[in-house]
Amino acid sequence: MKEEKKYFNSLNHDTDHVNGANEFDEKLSVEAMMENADTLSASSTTRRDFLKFLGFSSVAATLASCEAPVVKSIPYLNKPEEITPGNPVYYASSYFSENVFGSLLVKTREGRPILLNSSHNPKFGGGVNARCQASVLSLYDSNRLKNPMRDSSEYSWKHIDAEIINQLKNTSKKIVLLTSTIISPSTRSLLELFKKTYSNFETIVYDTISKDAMLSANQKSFGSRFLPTYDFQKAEVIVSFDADFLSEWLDPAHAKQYTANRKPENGKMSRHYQFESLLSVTGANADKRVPIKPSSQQAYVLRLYDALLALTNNQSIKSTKTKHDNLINQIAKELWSNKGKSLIVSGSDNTDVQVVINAMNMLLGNYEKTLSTTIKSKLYSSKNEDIDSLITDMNDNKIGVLMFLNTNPIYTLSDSDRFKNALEKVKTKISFSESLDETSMFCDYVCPDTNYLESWGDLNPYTGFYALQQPTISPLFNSRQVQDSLLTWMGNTVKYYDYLKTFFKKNISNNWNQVLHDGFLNKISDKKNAPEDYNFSEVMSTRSQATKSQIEIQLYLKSSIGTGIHANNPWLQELPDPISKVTWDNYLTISPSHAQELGLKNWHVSNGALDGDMVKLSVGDKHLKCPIYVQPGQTHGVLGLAFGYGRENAGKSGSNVGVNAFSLYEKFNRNQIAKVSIEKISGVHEFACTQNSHTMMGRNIVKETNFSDYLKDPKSGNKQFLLHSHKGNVKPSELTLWDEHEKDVHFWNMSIDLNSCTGCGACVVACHAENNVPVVGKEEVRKNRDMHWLRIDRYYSSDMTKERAKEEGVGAIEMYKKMEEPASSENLEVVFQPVMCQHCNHAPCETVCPVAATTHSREGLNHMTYNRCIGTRYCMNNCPYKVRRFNWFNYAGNEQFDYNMNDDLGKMVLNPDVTVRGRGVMEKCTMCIQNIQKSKLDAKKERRKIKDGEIACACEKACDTGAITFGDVLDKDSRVSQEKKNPRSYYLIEELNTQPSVFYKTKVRNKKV
Amino acid sequence: MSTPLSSFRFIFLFFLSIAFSIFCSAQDAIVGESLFKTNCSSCHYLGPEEKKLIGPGLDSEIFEEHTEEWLYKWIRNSAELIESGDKVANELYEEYNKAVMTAFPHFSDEDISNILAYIKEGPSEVVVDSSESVGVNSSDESSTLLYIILIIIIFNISLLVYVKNTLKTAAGIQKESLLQSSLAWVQLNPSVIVFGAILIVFSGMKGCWNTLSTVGVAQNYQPEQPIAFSHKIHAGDNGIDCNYCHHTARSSKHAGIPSANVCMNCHTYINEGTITGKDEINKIYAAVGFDPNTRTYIPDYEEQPIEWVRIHNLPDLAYFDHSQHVNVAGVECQTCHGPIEEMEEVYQYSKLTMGWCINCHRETEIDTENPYYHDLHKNWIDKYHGEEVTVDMIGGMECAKCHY
Repeated sequence: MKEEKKYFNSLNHDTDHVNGANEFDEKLSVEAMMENADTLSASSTTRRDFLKFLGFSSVAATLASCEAPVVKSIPYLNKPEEITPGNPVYYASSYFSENVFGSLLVKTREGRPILLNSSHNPKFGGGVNARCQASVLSLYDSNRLKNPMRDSSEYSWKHIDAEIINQLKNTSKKIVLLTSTIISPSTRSLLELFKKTYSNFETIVYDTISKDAMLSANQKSFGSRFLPTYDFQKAEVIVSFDADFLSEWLDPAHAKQYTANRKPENGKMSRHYQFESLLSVTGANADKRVPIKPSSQQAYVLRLYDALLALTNNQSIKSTKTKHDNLINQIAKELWSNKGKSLIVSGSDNTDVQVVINAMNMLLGNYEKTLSTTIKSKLYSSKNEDIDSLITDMNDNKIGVLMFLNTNPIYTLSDSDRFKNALEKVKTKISFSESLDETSMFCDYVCPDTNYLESWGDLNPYTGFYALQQPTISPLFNSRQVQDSLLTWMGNTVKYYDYLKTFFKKNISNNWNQVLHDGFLNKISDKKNAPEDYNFSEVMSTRSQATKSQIEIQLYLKSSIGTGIHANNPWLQELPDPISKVTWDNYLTISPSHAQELGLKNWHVSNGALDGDMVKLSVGDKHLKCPIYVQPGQTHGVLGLAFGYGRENAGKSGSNVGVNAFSLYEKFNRNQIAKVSIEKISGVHEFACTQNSHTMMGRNIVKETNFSDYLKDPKSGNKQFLLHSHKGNVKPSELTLWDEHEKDVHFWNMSIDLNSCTGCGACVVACHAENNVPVVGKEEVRKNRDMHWLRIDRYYSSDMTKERAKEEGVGAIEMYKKMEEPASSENLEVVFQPVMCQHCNHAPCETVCPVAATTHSREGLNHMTYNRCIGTRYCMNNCPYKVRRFNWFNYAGNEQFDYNMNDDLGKMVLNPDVTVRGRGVMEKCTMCIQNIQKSKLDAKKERRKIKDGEIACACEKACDTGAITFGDVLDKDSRVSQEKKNPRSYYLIEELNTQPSVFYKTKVRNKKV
Repeated sequence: MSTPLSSFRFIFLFFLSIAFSIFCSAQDAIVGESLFKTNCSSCHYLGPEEKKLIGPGLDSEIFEEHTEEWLYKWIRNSAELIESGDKVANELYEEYNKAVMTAFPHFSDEDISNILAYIKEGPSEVVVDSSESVGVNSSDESSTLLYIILIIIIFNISLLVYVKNTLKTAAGIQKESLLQSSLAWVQLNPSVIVFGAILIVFSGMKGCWNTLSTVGVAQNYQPEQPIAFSHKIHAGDNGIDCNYCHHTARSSKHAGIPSANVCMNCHTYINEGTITGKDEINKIYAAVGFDPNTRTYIPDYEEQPIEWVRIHNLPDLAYFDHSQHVNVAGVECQTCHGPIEEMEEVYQYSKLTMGWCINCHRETEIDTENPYYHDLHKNWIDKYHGEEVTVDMIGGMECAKCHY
């Protein structure tokens, strides 16, 4: 029995540490109370008095509660025309933060933005990732500055303006604006105007994550510093060297393009090879993934180039051999046969590597087909040397005024101490930060900028593509848009709004109102650069000899926290990392074999929570103490650490979570190869991980097939489960105890295409925002009390299968033990599966509820009635999908959970159409029933039928890749009816015959056979 | 004290005298009243000149200031009169900031004379008050009568008891109190005790049940509001459509308390009410910063929101949508809110309990003519054999239709 129990812990994480005595380690604090025996006996209150008080107070409380409270209703004095209380108003706007552009549709209620949707703009700006989704909560961050500040105390705009103008006028030294990439044309022209007023003014661009290698490579290859735009949809063969293009490489819009060419129904699918060091979201989706060390990336790239050159009978560049030469030759052949329909990308911070990548794409004729130099991406522009020369200038006393816009160098620079010291020599330091971050702490003036949802703006993210940003709420605080500040300091009385409008009408489009309505303007011309227009120089500079070392480290971006701008956003902190499923933390990832070698471990404690060893990481003279997380799939000898954590001044949710990886980001290189070492230190780290079982244990949870098999039989990999019965082998649905539910109005179904899901997690955040899902904090997540209504399960493949066990004669116990182990790094495959309430039509939860709080609707939904629930949790225990969430505490009224729901400002993001659940009730996905009811009502009011696609669940709207489809299957023409007929469709755990209303579509990989 | 007959006679005579006096004064004043209300009252009050609306207040004084002939000309076309260089007319024109009075060329002489007759007479008196006082008198009378009867009965009973006791004493029988005799009777009939006990227990339980089921039910809740707004005057007497002020009821889940700018649509000009005078209307002006004398909004005024007390408080866990009921189902406001047009002060008419909601859902038919239901309706004809399809039959009683 004891042996069997072990199956359900992950073997990857040692179970020996499970300590039975540890089970009830938290005791009631009775002793602590009794310790005060002296005060107890000294009390003049006798036992009888105590009982009297008790009786009196309970009677008084009962009587008082009979009196209904007087509720005030305060209408507008002068109601704005467009607002109807109770109905949402939508505004088209745009998002640009952390070099990510997104085209948005902002949902506001009674003047408050509460949800961000992608405007599903056809070609560009699909980049509504998890951070963009969550940015609506950052608007209501109580950590934002309420007033401008001078020397850490609040000050008035009038005085600040007077003083700053004085400083600007009287300095003979340089005035510098340190900013992240500005893609606003009007702001750029405004800065030119500023330079006319103050001739010693200069703008220095500093992007937190640098793409200098790519920009410089294009400078070398094409003679101009730019980033091309990519079209992954047109690529039939994709080779990526460490570029996490589905999540954090250049533009999240790539995920949409990528999945568009991964639909097996079209009869073709792209093939994707990924060479990478860590396990990224992109690697997890690849058809073939090869773990390599960062130091050997260059060798692989050159080897591939050599192979391509060999195919074209060009002279070899004499590359060195690699471990995967056969694979590389095969890839080269595939690339060559897909000339002009392939794409090679790299995430390397080495310009030389990027030059070779350019050369390969040129050789394959991909330019102007799968990547465009005509339409350039303007999302990144910083030069690595600029910040260094700025520091030198500061030290040389050349800088008189330094302004910070969307930059936080004291947190994000690897040598922030050097910057801090240099900063002391600058007389006037001005920050435009929205909150008091690490850098603005050192500034003389903080002139808080408005949040982007409170601001006007124009954006030009790609050549010929323009977008507008408009305020969706009046500024909450006494903050001022940075452009207005600059105009004031120029002595200009024009408001930025007027400036922008004039500029836009003059330079971009006369049709201001239409562009404002649409949110964007596509002026991309069809004319393409012809290949002969290029001044392509095949510069193969002196090949830097790659140094190799025993341990190398790669820094990466998590899709939840990114560079840490939104670190104080509790939704993002609680969003599990797509791969590790860990929340509220960063950690040093290490491959299982490497961890074993070094004697490092992760293990589970008795309540299932994950613990890990602590290590001291040394890179050169930098030292960090961090926990280790054993990550299957990672290359042996490589460590990974995420950016965005370890902030000191982020706010109550974001400060002091994890360690600051930026301190290792030397020379803007994510790969640090030399002098890396780790050493185990004492101490145990407690993780809050939402998924502790790693493999499917031979079960058919995620069904998977290969494209070649799919072409032969579309039902391949999707074998119908049959029950052996007295009627013969039958489908589970044919053997049932229950009667069918009536379905004569609608029958809502949801289809989830596992082939389109990249696992990014935007849907999880959207669900939080739409359904008032509470944040519970690290401690509670650790106790498996996370409240996500929608989770994304991540499964690793295992080398052991039942068939293999039979062949090799492995015993059952040994087989299951092996099955728990994820496959070796070379063979590892990863699948993602979003799981929410399956809305079973024969629901196990409904039959066990003693108070009928969970019932079935005739529209195929499983209803959960909070006000009827008494909290027995029978339903939760009987749910085979584990999607029900119990509200353990009154998260919205318990100060211990100091997140957005317990904060007057944070409460403004709540959706007024959805109940904020109290303590002691069960909750779960409702299929956004508020939207269903709303759309039905709209149709009835307008006296028409419901249109397919009119009702969208929050997760569906958030999904850029269109993995989720919701609709009425009684409508024969609806998309979901078509999906249901798809041979790839299957029900999760069909053998239980729960007859879910949610169905999945088989994952298809395009592996080379 | 008069007899009932005499009081009837009194009321009759009273009404007759009023009617006669109105009839006598001039028949044309009644026609004039309706003409005045349609054409003049939006700019003129019926009262002293100082009571200005857009133009001056009008009363019998105008006949002292102007000749009838002048008045006829002025009313028919004041602009013409001004142009003709009439001194009085030009003075008036200057006084009212060169605002020209609307011309009424279609008025016949008779119309104008009717209006003038009405102005001369002033507002007609309200007769309701006096008849009410009569009613109060009569009810006083009847209760006095009841008291007299009661005293007579008590007197008779005590007389009989006294006679009985005297007779008993005379016969030498021991006297017994009422209590003793009834106890003796109960002893002889033990089943009464059982029955009584059951009765007490059950009525106690029923009492508890009744009390508990009123917990949280705020039927007849009638809080005092910051402004004594009368629905009777607005919706009842003046017949303003509910949707004029509560216009979002058709499009939103909230019927919406009208914002003060909706009040100001009318109250820019109506500065005085019939019952409370200026007191209550001035509260709106105080909220928005409006000066009724100059009829302008005070610049840079710090507006004071009006804090109404919410009467209908559904718990947060229940979702209710006005537009669903008002717009789609076509439910009258009064179905749930009661005779709102008769309420001086609004109270909660319905219980607003879940049972109350559900009962209505059980009884209310859906509008199968709505194209939303078209295809579905065919199925239902077979299924329900043509009987009425009520809300509950299509899932209107499922939990998450209202609780989510």
